[in-house]
Amino acid sequence: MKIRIHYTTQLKMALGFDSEEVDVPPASTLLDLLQKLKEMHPGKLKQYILNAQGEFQPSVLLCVGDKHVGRDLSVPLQDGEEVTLLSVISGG
Amino acid sequence: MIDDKRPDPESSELTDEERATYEWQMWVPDFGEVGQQRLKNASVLVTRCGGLGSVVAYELAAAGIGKLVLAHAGQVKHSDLNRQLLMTHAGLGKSRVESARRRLLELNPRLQIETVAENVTEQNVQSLVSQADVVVDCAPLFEERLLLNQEVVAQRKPMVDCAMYELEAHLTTIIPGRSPCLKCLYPQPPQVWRREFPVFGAVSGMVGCLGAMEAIKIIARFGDILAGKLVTCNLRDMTFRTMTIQRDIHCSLCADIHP
Repeated sequence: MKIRIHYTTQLKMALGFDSEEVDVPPASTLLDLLQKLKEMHPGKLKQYILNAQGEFQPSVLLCVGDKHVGRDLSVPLQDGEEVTLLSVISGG
Repeated sequence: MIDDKRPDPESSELTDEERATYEWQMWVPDFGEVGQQRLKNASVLVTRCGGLGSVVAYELAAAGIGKLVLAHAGQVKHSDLNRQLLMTHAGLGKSRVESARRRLLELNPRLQIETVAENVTEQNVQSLVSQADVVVDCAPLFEERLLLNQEVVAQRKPMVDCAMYELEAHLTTIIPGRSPCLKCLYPQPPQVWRREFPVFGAVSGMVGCLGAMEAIKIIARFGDILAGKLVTCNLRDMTFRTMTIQRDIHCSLCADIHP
């Protein structure tokens, strides 16, 4: 099934684009999707989305559609769904 | 609508000059003279008064807020001037908060301003937050933002959280006990973050205006605020989205204060 990924702010700058479509097997979860993204962009995304232990970095907010899902990576995805990775930002 | 049944504190009436100055906004439905009096009797802490905070402070001063507490260390630099609209070329090398005070009083000489030439620290955060009814977080360092968040949760005060990067901006409002706090969203600073980053003044100004409007609605008790919601703006393609955000039911800071 196809999932549309949106990247914001620092993630977008690191990757050089703000959106892509990714194919994942049926019944995939958010965790499956993140593992796939890690494989697709090993150098560029890693420092932003994974910590030193290889765990998902909690300062990236995950939204499915327009809903933030917190730290629940077991959320099942549906074909055609949109997932946004929001890296947190500040002022200045 | 904002569900706030608290009685108004003893308030001073509007003067004729204030009625004349704020006439156009007092025509706004649900705001009126009562809303204007609430602004007059309220105080807002703005930390720091850079690209975001300058515009937040300026719009609040224009709207007739009674008191601003401005916390920002350092002197005006050339690289401030693309976005920090309370700073001027003539103020280069001079105190940022004093430059801010001067500009704000030119606009609104009735405004009370407390300037603190320091950024938020563990030593001053309790005192700064205690002086305000509402906090607007415009700080560049995540350590400062999380410190402010901790203190507003402790003092049960609302905080409007403004952020920007390149042509993007984020805005949310924290109402302790009712919405997620910042620590629910990110328990620690991001591991990769550059203190200096690309941004236009038009982006910081836009989100500063939105942040000021949130503060006005909270104080005057009208409209819908962003508690439990995060607005993201991308001015590259003019996309605005409103996300619902979840609190962390295990948050070490605010889990115990939610009903």
